[in-house]
Amino acid sequence: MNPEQERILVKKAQSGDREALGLLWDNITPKLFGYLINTTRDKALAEDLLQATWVKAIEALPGYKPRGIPVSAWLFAIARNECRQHWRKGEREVPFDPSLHDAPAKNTNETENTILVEQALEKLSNEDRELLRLRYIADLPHNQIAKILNINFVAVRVRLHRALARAQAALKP
Amino acid sequence: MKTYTIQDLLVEWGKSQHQIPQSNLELKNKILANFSINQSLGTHKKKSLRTPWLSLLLAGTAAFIFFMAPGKPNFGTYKAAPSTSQSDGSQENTVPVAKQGTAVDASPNPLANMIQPQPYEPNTSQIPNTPGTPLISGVMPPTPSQSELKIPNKPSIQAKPIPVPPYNPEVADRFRSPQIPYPPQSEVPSTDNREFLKTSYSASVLTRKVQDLSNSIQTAIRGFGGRVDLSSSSNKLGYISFVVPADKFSAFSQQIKNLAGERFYKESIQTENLLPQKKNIEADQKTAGDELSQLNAEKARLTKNHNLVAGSIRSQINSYSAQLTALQNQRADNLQQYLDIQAQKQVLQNAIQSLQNNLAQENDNFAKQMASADSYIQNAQNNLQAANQQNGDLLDTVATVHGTITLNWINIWELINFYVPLYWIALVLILGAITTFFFRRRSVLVLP
Repeated sequence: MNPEQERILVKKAQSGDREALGLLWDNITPKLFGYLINTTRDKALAEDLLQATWVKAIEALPGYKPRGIPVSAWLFAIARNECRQHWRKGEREVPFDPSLHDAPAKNTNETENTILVEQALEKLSNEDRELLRLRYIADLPHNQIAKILNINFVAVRVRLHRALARAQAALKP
Repeated sequence: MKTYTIQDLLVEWGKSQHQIPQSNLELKNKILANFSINQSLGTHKKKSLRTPWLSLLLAGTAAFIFFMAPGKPNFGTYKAAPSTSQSDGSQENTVPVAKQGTAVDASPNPLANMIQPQPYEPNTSQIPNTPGTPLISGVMPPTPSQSELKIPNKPSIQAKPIPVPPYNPEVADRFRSPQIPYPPQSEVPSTDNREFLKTSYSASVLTRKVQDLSNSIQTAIRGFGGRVDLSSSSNKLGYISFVVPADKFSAFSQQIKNLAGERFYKESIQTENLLPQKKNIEADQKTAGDELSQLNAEKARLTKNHNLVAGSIRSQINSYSAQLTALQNQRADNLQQYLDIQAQKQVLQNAIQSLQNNLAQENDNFAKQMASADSYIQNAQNNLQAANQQNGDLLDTVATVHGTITLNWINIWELINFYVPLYWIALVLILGAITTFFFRRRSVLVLP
């Protein structure tokens, strides 16, 4: 879904079109849920956060103004905020622990490469992982990541470049 | 075998992470139901934007600069004089700038407060130009009667009166500005192109270090062979009155400009040709010289006449004395002859007595005339000396430059204002505030 289609759907949803909102759900939820699962490592929690994110988004949807930011980025920002609020109540993001968390999903797309990447990302810092999630799971461009993280566009590029370098280093045996 | 870059691996990884919740449909329906309720109840609450601190900061700074910052820097706002140390070391409280007639009001125009050039006022103690005033008062001896001596009937040396043009309001209006000096009031022939330029210099300097700069300027004055007549300085105000040789003035002025910085330095130089005064002095010198020569000639003539008259009387006395001696040696043969001799002797004695009286009178008159002549000669010499003195003073005035430098402390706002007008800074800040406000509104992510 390109940004223009997304904008039209948002307009329709704002005017009360449920079908448009359903289409937005169908397009954004796989990325958003993937992001939440990767962040929380907890499917149940991810579902709760997904639901909370959408509820908040729907409540605020009539007042939503794109201002150069598509609704998908807005939803990721809400989701990220929900995660932070959850961690503020409980504990910070912790490395994957099979005894505490769900095992990585054994879906059909998973290949040897993705497993390697998962292992490499475990060695990175929280900030680097967050950047890579927003870039490659949420599939957001640099400027939208900058808005979500509330940092400079150039800073996003630099940090992402460094995170990639560290991930590459972590991949080497 | 395919080779993967880190980006390829991460893209593949990112896509593999996409998944839908197990209860996707249920969740979707729940959300859509919630959406319907929200839409129908209109429970949406507008969340206000966070306070635009940067915009407020920029706008506040702009307002502060606009309302609180001073206007243009002022040159020469010398309002009070600190304790003054004169060259003789005595302490005196003076207001030198006010004495010089400089502006004291704080006009926003820097040039308006500069020390304005003053029209030339001749120093009457040196160069008299009032008709009828003797050059040196109090040295004129009591004038003997003109009949006693043939003294040329000339008045004492006087400055020639300067003709003043009749008052013309239109012309007066044209010269009303204090920056335009009065035109020379003298009838100097245009063929005389000599220049005796009197230079007056005044400068105003803005500085952050008044005392340091005052010391540097005084050192420079002395370095150029000048002298400091008056100096005063405090943390915020300074004043220096000085004299420097005219031939070094240009270099001196440049040195002061370099010391102060061209941007913080304003100077006013006024020059006036003292040719009318010079011509008056030359006329005075000529008159005094001519008078002295005339008096010396008259004195010589008097002496010569006196010698002739006295010699004639003496020769008559000698002649009568010889005749008297001859009569005294003559023997009388009879009474009648004796009586005749006695009568002749009496006549001769009377004549001798009369001649001696005449000689005494002549000597007395001569002595008086000589005394009077000497007195006039002395007076003429004094007048000539005074004229020479005035000439020397005028040449000294021409050879030196009298100047004053006023130092004023400048605050940081005025300093900035010198380079960039503060209202421009305020304007830029306001534009920045507006830009940041709208940019923030455009780019900020408002989270519910």
